[in-house]
Amino acid sequence: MIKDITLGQYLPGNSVIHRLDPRTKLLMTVSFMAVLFVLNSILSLLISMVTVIICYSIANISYKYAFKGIKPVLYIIIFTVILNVFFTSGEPLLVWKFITISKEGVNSAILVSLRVLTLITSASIMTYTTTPIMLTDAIEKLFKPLKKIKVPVHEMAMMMTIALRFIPTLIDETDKIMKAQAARGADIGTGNLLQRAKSFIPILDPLFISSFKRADDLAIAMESRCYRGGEGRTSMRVLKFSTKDLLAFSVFILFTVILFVLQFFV
Amino acid sequence: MKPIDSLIKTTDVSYVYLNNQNPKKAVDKISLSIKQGEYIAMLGRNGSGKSTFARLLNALLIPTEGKVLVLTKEATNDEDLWFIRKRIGMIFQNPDNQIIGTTVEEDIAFGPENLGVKTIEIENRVTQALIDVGILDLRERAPHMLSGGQKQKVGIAAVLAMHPMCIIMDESTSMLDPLGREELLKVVRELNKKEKITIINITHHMEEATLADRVIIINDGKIVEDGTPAEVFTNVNKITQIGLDVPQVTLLLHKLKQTGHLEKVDAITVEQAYERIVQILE
Repeated sequence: MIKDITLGQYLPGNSVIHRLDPRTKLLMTVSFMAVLFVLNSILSLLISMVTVIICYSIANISYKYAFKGIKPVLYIIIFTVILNVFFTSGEPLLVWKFITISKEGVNSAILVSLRVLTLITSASIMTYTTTPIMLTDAIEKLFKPLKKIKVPVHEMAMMMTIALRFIPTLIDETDKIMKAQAARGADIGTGNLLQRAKSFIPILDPLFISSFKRADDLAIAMESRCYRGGEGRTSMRVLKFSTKDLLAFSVFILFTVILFVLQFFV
Repeated sequence: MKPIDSLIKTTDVSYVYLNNQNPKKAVDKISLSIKQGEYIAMLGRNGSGKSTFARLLNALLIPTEGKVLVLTKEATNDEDLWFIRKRIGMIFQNPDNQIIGTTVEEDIAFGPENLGVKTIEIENRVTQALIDVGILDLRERAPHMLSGGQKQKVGIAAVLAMHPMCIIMDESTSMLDPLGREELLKVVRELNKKEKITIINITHHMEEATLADRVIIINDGKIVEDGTPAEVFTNVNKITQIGLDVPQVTLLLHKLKQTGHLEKVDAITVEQAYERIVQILE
């Protein structure tokens, strides 16, 4: 039941997108998101959407995964569309009794939904094609300059790595505790919202305690393996920009320019 | 390299836990010398101080009194502390709580990375460690997909990649099934024979202890027995008094001695006991 967390789920593969440097993917995704917020024409957004879909086929990822990412926000999209369609004032397109649908309303509804859909599908493609650990590496490398102003970059990356490592372990444990409590007659997940929330206390309690125990054990294990922070530490994986990345960046910049040109001149 | 006589040497080592109201002396003046290449089993009841003692050996704990020397170095400054931890590797009881990497390969690389080993060299070390432990096929697996025995093998490989001289197993077999335990012990035995790595196995299982060259029994923070398995286990009365078991065959011979069928108890394995009993029958 709790085992299907979609966010950040890596799908193994060997496509060009998979093989790009994680830093490239991260930078491109973040800048693409910024671009999406600035874009204001349906045509440009539509082209962006199509491009993301093309990326899915390049990465050899089935479209159903694209949809999987959209599903949780579907209601939000529908809600904003309704809000935009009915409550934006402007040139009336359709009038029926007290309901007025304006041209501007339809326009902004399409803009917003396209924008959100593209945002999510583009962010998912990064997580689908990059292992979480690669992403962590990328973040560590990209934020390295912040070390100068005393931001604990290495420590944060290490925490992320450990969190990633322990997610499946803790999920397994939660499952076990739930079964153990159910065997003692605990009633989990029934009743109203408050009752349901309350029923999770006997699960969270032991989970918390055992997590602290784990953390303690892990700290000792790390120390005994000579962990002493990021100072003087080397890495087995070395990130390297290649021609692929250069190419990807050039295509991306060209694409962005085209999008803006379309927005302002068409 | 010429064999080093004494890898670990402790003199009057004590350790006191101070963190609660009544301080508890977990280790009480232990003096001991461990040679390079020895295979030692360390036995003791829960709370006997054996795990504390093990942690003193690789400087996870610093003794309250006395000295722990590893290759003549004492963990008095940072440099020597890391020198010791690099040479004395340790694997723990719960296999889940000592794997740091999100894949087997990354976890094994963690140690060498901390030591500042060069990237290419790390790759080689990881591969070699995987081969030595016989889990090359698990290289890219995620830790939660492994069985308990496999996880402990990863633990050993992770220590091996740091090129240690000694591996301490702190009840590392206690959470494993019989098959997993047997395989782990086989791997450890091979490392001991081929690579001459000193093994200190802290355990509750008498059968595991009979595999060792030397058995040390700790009770109330003190060493009460130290010798070959045959010497230690045939002393049945003393061991049962401490609250430990002896191998079942030894216990059987002990009974036979009590009823006057045998003159002395001198068997700890099934084969040896078989011979003694056949002698009586004839």
